[in-house]
Amino acid sequence: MARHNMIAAWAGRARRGSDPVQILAGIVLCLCALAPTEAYAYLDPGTGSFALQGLIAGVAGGVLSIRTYWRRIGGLFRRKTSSETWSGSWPERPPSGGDA
Amino acid sequence: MRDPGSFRDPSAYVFSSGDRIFRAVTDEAWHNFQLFRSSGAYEEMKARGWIIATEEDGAPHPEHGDRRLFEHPKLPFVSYPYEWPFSLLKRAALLHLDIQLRALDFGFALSDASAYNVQFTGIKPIFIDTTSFVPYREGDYWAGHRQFVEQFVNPLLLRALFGVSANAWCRGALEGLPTSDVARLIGPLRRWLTPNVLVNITLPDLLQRRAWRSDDPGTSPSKPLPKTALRFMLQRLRDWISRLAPRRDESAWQDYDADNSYSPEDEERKRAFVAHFSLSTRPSRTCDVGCNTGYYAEVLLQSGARSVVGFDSDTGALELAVSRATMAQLNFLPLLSDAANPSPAQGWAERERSGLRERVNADAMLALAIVHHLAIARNIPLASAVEWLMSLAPRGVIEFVPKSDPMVERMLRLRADIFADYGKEQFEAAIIRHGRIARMLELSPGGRALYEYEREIS
Repeated sequence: MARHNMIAAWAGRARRGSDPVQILAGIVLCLCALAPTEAYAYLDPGTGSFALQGLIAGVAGGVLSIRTYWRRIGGLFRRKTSSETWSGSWPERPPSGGDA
Repeated sequence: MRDPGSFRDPSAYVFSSGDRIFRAVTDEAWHNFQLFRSSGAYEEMKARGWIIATEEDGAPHPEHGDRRLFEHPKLPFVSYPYEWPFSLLKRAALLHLDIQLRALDFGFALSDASAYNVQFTGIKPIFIDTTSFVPYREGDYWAGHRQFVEQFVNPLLLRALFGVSANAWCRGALEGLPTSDVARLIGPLRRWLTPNVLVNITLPDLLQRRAWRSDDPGTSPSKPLPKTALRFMLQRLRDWISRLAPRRDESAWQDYDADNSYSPEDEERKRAFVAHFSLSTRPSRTCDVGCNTGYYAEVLLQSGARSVVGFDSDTGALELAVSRATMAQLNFLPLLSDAANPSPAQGWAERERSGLRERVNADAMLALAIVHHLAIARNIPLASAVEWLMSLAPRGVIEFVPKSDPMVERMLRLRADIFADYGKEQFEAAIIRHGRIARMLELSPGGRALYEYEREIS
């Protein structure tokens, strides 16, 4: 049930904003949420603990988006100046923060 | 026979058949384990000794509702978190986090964080619930965080911050120490200024109370938790716990080995008596009641005993016993237990966690310098104390400490001697009531004496 509220929150946010990234993220989350999770729900995770993880998620999300934008800016800058040392390909995933 | 403590997770339950241990699992749990095994995580963790071996029997068993079965090796002794000394609880906590972190690499999470899913062989922790590995999905929250904090972190913190052992509280609170209670104990400075306390105790407690007060307490995860953030949480907790140490280590008995009332000759004779007992009986499971720092457990293990579970009520001595077992690599598990008040059968229907006696399946028993603590310090009738000790194993060694001993004299210094029935004759009679005296050694004339008994097979 918790997961369904999560979808609603995301869907609501996606409707309000027209950002396609948000809509896509909403769809991905919906798909994730449809997968069965209730089977493991025999443990009450605790409202306080989940609210805390929500805060951490918010902070982490903010840090990650700042990092992504920073990389993009950095990437543009590097492409122009370090063409002599450019190896020809970027790593598929950034070495850190790539899990998000 | 179904394990009465195995009911929380509907996808699997544990039962025993003779000496074999099985787990009856649903199709989903079976499928999850296949995924877990094929990822390579199972083999790796088993090879590291982190998780218990699991043999699969894929045939549906009609007597178990067509569930399929896993079989696990039987553990030599089942202990509970409220019996673990600080350093064993800490080891169990670190193992749980290590397993979570490594499982995440393979795309798995743990569905709970119960401390009861960790057991010990010797002092080495092992994770026993192989069906609690579930596929991890990006964004998932850590469902076991609250449980981990209440069952592992809070008891460790009480000892680390205040020097207070939390075992008795844990024994009464099988779900763990409530974070709301622990938050109240920690002063405001530490509560708000220690980042680990803030994140794991203060904020969850505050948010929990706020949620209870609000009209809509069903606050649900609104943002996915990135895997890096989850990993960060687990790693921070791991770093924090690995730095925790008991605040106060001195205790009444931890210097006992160095500062006791035995002469070196007496001690050597006592050692030889215990070694002879071990060599002649070669017990596979010995229980050592009043094990102190494990000196005689080590003697037993060096003389043919295969494993020893020790019990003592002194937390400081037990920490030294854990160090001894670590240094000498002994198959020795020192546990906190007061012989006058052993762990009872308790929990759901009073059967979820079994009593100590039910779990001790020993073939030998050692009870050195403990009888006077039971009979004089705790007023337990001597015959009753001897009977209880003898009930633990069919053979063993019990030390008798007479009233003339300096330790007993000290016990009686401030109180009247109401122990008319405490004497050598009564002690011997108590043994003979349930068995025979196989060997006896008087360490000094009229002084302490060691008795090897053999219980009558009834």
